[in-house]
Amino acid sequence: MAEKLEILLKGCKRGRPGSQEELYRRFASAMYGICLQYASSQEDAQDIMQEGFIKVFGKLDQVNNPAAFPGWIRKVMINTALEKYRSQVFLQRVDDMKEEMDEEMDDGIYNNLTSKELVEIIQTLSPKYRLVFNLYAIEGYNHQEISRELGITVGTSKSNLSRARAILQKRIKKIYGSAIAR
Amino acid sequence: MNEQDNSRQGFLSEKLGSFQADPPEKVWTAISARLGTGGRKRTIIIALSAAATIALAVTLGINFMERDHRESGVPQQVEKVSPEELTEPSEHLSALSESAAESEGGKQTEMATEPAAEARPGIAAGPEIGARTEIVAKPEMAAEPEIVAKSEMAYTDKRVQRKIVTALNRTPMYVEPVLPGISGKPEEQSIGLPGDTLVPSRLSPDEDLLFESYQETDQGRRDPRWMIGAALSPIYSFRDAEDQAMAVSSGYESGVISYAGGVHVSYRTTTRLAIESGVLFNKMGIDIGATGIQMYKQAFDFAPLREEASGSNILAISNSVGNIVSPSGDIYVNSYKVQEFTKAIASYQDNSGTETYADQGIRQHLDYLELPFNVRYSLIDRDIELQLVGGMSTNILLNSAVTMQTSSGNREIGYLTNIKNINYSGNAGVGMVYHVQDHLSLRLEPRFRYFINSINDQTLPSTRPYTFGIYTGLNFRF
Repeated sequence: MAEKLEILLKGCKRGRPGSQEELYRRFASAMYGICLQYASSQEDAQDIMQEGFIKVFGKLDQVNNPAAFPGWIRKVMINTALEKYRSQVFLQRVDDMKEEMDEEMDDGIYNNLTSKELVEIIQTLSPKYRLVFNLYAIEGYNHQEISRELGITVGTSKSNLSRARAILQKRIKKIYGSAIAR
Repeated sequence: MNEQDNSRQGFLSEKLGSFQADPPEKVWTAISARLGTGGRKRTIIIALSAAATIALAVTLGINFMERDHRESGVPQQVEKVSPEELTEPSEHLSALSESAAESEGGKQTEMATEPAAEARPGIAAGPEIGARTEIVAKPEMAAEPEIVAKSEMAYTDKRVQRKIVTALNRTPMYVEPVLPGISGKPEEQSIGLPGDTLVPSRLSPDEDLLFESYQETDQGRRDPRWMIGAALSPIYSFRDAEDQAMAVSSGYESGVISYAGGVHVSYRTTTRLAIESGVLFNKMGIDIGATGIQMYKQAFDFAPLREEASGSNILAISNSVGNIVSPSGDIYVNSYKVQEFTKAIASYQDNSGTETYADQGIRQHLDYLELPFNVRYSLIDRDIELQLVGGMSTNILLNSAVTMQTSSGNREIGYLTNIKNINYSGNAGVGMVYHVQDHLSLRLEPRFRYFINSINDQTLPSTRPYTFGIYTGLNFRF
């Protein structure tokens, strides 16, 4: 697998179309999954995916170790998504303000949802909450790293995460009812 | 961060970290288009840069040539003749006549003034007139700026030339002395030079030269004889081969669409005939669409091939052009002919030993540097010129690599042997030239090129590539 990937990467570095397509096919599903988590819609996810892969093919020379490539391409996709929404982190949506609440979190809500359903609900969050939530809950960043990545304070990061969770919980309950939340 | 947070984070990370979804196909279409477009853009930028450089060089060259011409070749328009010359009208006329006879080199004006210096002893002009009196060739003074301007246009417009010639024949030539306080027509002047005496019955030497030049060319616009240009074309290339060679590849091989381009320079020998040479790069080739062609490593433990493979370091398959040699010792088989192996072995179908295989076959690249020598004949000579083009080219082989198109991309698998490095081709085409400006024209030229000799050596059946392209480009005449 690693040897194959190395050959693929060499082909891509030489600009061979066949290698580029093969590399895309191999990582497309995983990368699109990431894009969906960070995007507001399918169209946005496709835009991020497109921009991300253009960057990947343009910066492949940075990858010397094929084993590091999966982590690197994931990072490129996330950074592309962050670039798209970074400017919106400071915007405050009115409906989000209304949904701010402090409710007790219930893990059961998440347990009963499929990944696809969960992603669709995450997509409904405004960028300022979605980015913090994804970086913290999925990528494992701490608040200091998030604050550096997004250019916000640690306090804002914590606050946004808390609000994101609350909003998610409320929306899940609203959409799926008490059967799921049980 | 409490335990609940940690637990929730781990759960979400696990659940969403591995989340996958299939993107729509249009995403890859857009990505590949942008990747491809980037390449094309770079190519176009390079081509435009080259064309712009050539255009700039030619323009500067023309500019400098014209400047040199103006500085050295344009005759003085105002002749200064001493007053004493005026007393010797016959000498002056004689001088004019002599200068006319010797004016073929365009030095008539200097000649006209020289004899007058010798006539100086007979000074008759009084001091009130001044030591020297300027005699101005009036028609030249009045009309010459226009004439010079048009001659600088290299007589590019027939109608303008006709006007010039008509004007020259119609306009009487006379010499008007510029004397202080005296004005009037030449015949009224008191210096004893009747105006009609100085009116030549023929054109002045300058005008003679202009008229002769016009008569000689008879095609004013064609006077610039040199032309340089750049052309680019998509080309379709394939090959014509003997039956024996066709049998090897029948049904598998097809033509390739690629490109050709370069620069050319031509010299117009007559009004309608021009010879042309230049340098062009031709990217040619043959697609060998043997989908599923399989490649075996020589070292692979593949029983039917093991013994033979170990006995040779270079193994090859053949296409209609020649033998494809794999320096690594890889063996390529399917129904394709494999050198040094029996048909039974070559057609052995067992994918267990396949190292890789061609998804879209293989491509035989044939890149040539073309040095053409063509003759152009103008059938229609208007603003849109129609030319017949024919000639021969020397073609120098630059690349004979063979690539295999696999799922992991194009892979160079070897090169062609038994092929000649120097080849000759015949060229034929129809050129359409649109003269945008005096020195600038656009060209559209469908052209066919057929190799006269077989590009294989004598050990293989004869194969002759051919190309068809529609060349477009810019030409500059000077």
